[in-house]
Amino acid sequence: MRVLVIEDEGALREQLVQSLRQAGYAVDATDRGEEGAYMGSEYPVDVAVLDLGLPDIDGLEVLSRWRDAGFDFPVLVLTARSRWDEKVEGLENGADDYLAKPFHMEEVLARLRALVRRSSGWATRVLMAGPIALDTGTHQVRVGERELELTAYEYRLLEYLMLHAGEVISKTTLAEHLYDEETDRDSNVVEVLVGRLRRKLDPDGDFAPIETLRGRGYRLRAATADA
Amino acid sequence: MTNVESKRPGWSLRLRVLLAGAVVVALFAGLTGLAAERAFRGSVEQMGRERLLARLYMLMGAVDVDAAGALNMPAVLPEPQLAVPASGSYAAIAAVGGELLWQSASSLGVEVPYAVMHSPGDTRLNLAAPDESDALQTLAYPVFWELDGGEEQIFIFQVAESRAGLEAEVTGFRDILWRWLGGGAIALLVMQAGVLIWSLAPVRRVAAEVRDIELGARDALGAGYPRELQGLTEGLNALIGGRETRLRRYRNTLSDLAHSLKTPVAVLRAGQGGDAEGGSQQAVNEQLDRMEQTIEYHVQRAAITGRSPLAAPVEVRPAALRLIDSFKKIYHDKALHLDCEIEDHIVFAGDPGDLAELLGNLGDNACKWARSRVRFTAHNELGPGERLRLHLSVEDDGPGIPEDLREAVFKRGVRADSRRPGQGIGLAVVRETVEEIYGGSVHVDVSELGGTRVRLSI
Repeated sequence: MRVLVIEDEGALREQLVQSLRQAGYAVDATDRGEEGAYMGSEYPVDVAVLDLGLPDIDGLEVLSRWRDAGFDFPVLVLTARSRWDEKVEGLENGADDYLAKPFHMEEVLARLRALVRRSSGWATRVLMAGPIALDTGTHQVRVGERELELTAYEYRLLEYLMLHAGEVISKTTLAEHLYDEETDRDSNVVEVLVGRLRRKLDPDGDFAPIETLRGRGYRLRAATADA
Repeated sequence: MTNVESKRPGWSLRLRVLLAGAVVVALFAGLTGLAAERAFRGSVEQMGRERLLARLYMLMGAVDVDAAGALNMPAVLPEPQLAVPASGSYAAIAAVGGELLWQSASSLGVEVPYAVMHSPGDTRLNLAAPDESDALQTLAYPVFWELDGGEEQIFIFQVAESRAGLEAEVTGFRDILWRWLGGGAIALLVMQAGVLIWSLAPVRRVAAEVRDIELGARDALGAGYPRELQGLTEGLNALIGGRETRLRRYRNTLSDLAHSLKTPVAVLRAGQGGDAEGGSQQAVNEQLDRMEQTIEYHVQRAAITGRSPLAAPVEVRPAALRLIDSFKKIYHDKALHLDCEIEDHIVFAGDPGDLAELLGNLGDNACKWARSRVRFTAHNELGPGERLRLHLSVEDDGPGIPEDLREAVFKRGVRADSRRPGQGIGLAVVRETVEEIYGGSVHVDVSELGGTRVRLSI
């Protein structure tokens, strides 16, 4: 998943970027509202962390611009003053959750996970697709009884596919959501990753969880009967 | 930051009243003067005409016509002016066709433009225009005189009067009139100015007392103001009082905060050169948490606004609904039922920010603990001294708070469950707001929904 961080306080922003990368996100970050607003509308962002007290333009303004333009990715706003009227204003302007500073980093991660799940229509922490169970909290993946060992990027890929289970996703889209703007992307890497993931998920070729649709992309079979 | 609009003052009250008064008085005096002048002139002109007519009748009475139709006028006429040459009063008797049969002595050397009648007609009155002051007004009156023998002879009686006399009368009147009116108007304006100074004295007093307050010589505006200004002075006093209270509170909060931080800082400092790494790191974190909480608590405490004397009451239902919408987003994953059983007319006689804090803190707590339901109810009650009281209650269907902890949760830092995120100061701020600032009360007991019920009375 790809997260956009807009926070003007340098040390805090760096901390956020580090923690989010460690947790498996592709992170784009900036300290200016104008730039952040642009990034939110140009990059394929899955979730955003937005500080309300920005130096150049109001955080609420950034939020309004995104919502007015039709971007509905979930946004977690960071508030310095924890007065309720400020929190309510943020939520009314389009935020999905708030966090008051100072906060513990685990808090941010937990809320972002919840927001990502919520926007994909998942109510629980554990994503299911057939025999595959992915725990977004512990990052553990099981196929039936068997527990899998996945690399960071394999995990990200599987998580994204499961959150969009049943949908066809192109290689380019996958690349955009697995890597941030700074990283060099090569869509062939996605092919390689999908291959490795398939071998780990289904070494014996029993149920082929990931389909390839020629020229269109990949699809993870959902748990329901329309496979 | 106060908003000061354009520095140019509006028109002075005194100037407004004096100007308006002057205009009204001038208008009134002018119209009165014109009317009086016109009336007088009319009357004088009328008298002039009557004088002409009277002279005519006098003439007719004085004349004597003998049997042959010849005129006989006495040497001395009742009107002395007719004997004085060029006196301005003239008389004559003419025949049809214009031949003068007799002229008064005053006519000597004066060309009087008597009317010439070629056939007997009606009375001919020639009035000279008012601006021709030398002109003469003439009156011609044809008389059919019956002679002794029964024949009729026509005599045209003519009288004339110079206008100069008329004009002199009018001018004389005008001078007196305008002198009196002018004097009266000035006197009126002077009295008006005096009345104004006396009437505006309370306003000057307010300005002077406000200056004294700024200089520190006074605490508040005095009493004894006229009814019209009482609303203003009482409002100002309430504003000043409110500001004083708030300033005092800020100062107290700052010093409380400073004091509270000294202890954890001292502990941290003492722990410098400490022992095992893990242990001292945890101790440091503990003190940091404590400091964070202290700062947050006092900052929120200072932000409580309290009742403002001039503020309008706040509607509770819209505020509650806004917070409920926010809770729905924040606690989306819990899929709670949030009920607002607060009617439209329920109000809170206090600050809208404080109301949002109360509803926010209590609602947030309720949502955290609730299994599936949270309910907001409120009603108003008219208390002693016309104070409108708000009774607000927030309930949840969660596990409830054990009785021994019910009072403790309102103390700073005490949480009934340390698993849930938060700093543990929300309820403490609620208590501070309700009890200390608004003089109300907070009660915690069991809700009929099964969980906790928090009731406020403000």
